[in-house]
Amino acid sequence: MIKIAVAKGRVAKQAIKLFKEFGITFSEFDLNRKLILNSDDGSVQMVLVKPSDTPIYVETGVCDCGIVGKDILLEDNPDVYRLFPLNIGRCKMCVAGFEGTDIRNMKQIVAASKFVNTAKEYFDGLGIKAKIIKINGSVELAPLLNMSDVIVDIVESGVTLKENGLSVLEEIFDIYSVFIVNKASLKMKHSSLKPFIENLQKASDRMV
Amino acid sequence: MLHREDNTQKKYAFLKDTLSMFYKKYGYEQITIPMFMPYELYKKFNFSHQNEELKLIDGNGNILVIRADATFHVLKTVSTLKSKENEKYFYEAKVFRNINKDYTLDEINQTGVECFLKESDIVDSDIIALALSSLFSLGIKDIRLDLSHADFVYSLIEEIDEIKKDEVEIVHKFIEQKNRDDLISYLDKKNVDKTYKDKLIDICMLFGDFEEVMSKARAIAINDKMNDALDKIEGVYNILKLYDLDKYVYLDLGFTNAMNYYSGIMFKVYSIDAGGEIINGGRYDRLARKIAGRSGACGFSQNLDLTAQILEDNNDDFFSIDYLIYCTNEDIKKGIDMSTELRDKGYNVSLIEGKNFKVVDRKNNKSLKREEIVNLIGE
Repeated sequence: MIKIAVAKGRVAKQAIKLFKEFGITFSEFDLNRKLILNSDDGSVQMVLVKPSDTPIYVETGVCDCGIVGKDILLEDNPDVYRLFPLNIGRCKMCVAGFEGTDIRNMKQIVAASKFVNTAKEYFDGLGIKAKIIKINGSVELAPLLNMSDVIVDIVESGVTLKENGLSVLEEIFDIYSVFIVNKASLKMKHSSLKPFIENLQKASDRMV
Repeated sequence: MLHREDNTQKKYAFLKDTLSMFYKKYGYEQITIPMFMPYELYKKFNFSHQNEELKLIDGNGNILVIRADATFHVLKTVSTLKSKENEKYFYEAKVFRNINKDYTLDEINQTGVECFLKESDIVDSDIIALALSSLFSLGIKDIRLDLSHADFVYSLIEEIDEIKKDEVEIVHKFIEQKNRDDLISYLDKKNVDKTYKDKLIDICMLFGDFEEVMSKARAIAINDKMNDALDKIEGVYNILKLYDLDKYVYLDLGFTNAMNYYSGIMFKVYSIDAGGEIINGGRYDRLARKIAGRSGACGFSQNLDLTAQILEDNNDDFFSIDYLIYCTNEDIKKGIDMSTELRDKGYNVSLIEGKNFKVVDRKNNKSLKREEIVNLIGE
């Protein structure tokens, strides 16, 4: 049986659509709050996890593979194989703040973010001295309460930003889900993983 | 929980005992290596990994690194020893790394062997045979060994003018991660020629069955150094056949030479139960020359924390005591004589005070009857 770690919520819903494309169905999904689901044919077990926890399950080998956002891979840099991107979970990592904030001309900046390393690296690259404040949720509050100049966060539709009077100032990189595999699993469970991997890639390519 | 902790200690003792006995059988001598090393030396020889090492400041204000890389400490130790003909050492050590993730251990228990002999298929395959057989001696059989060679990827990248020396690590990292997507973007950004690009992308997934991957690799090889690397791997593989170990051996030409550490054959042993590599090794002649003044070196390290994780929880071998002898003040003489006799016969015996005299067979957890004691040691 192949064990796959998938982030709860939107990504899980999209992943299930992908699996269905090649005949792997989970009729139990969404019926209850179960965190471990077996596919109807019993070939795949899906473990629903918090997005940022996905790499841990795969790195330690508790799960053979996983679907995880590129943002998390860049932030945590886990020791796993990153086989290919999937056409799901698309969004952008952005710097956001009040319209007209001219960050390129700032000598120093205070940014609030859940992605401390990503934010630090980005401002370092621009040569702007940055103080990063780690915030775990509702990051939009930080500039509104004058705690920071800007935020570095994932933007999907931009609705939350707009409703709070903020807008995207710069796009840092595109985010999409990546299919990751445990190092030992890829080698030692290759015969069972191979068809699954191939089918998943084909299904994802068709989704464009 | 208590019970579990108890067994963990026994597992480590069992691992260390069994492995050191095994290494000795292959002609290795134990050495002890220092705990501290000046930070300057870590920097000088490029052993410093992104501030992963733990440091402290001594009384004179010098910065010391707490052992973060066992091989480096072995090399520094060996540099102080007189060189000899058959120089093979093993060590058992903790290494400390500040990996900065909540779920990784900062304290890693390792054993390892380092053989200071110049490159040859015979020497290299002997070390690989030792790596595999030492795992078998622990009862671990569900494993797989991947072979590679440092020059295969390196001498391909060397040909590509668009990739500068300090950018090689980036390409290595993407190949190591089998991350074709980011590799393609990177090579495109650098305007790398399509022939090279296609080869590098193919190398990411160049792993699996030995013969099959070898023939694919031959098609990818475009210079003598790449072909020499493959010849070398084949030479070692052919000897491993004579050890009857070839069924455990696969290829993965997509694992690369981080920090330019290795100079020849490289190998990793995977276990599915450990969720990753338990053994990591290869040949590192450049470092052996530079640091220890030896003509060459090949070795491996084994992660004992992951190995302990694979061992079955209840294994008789973990119990190092064979007999428990309980005695009172009245029969202490009998107790001493009996334990001396049993120890002379090679058993491990623990003598303790008890309410009345008895001999307990620890493995079977039962008291011996009088006639059983007589059978064991005579009247």
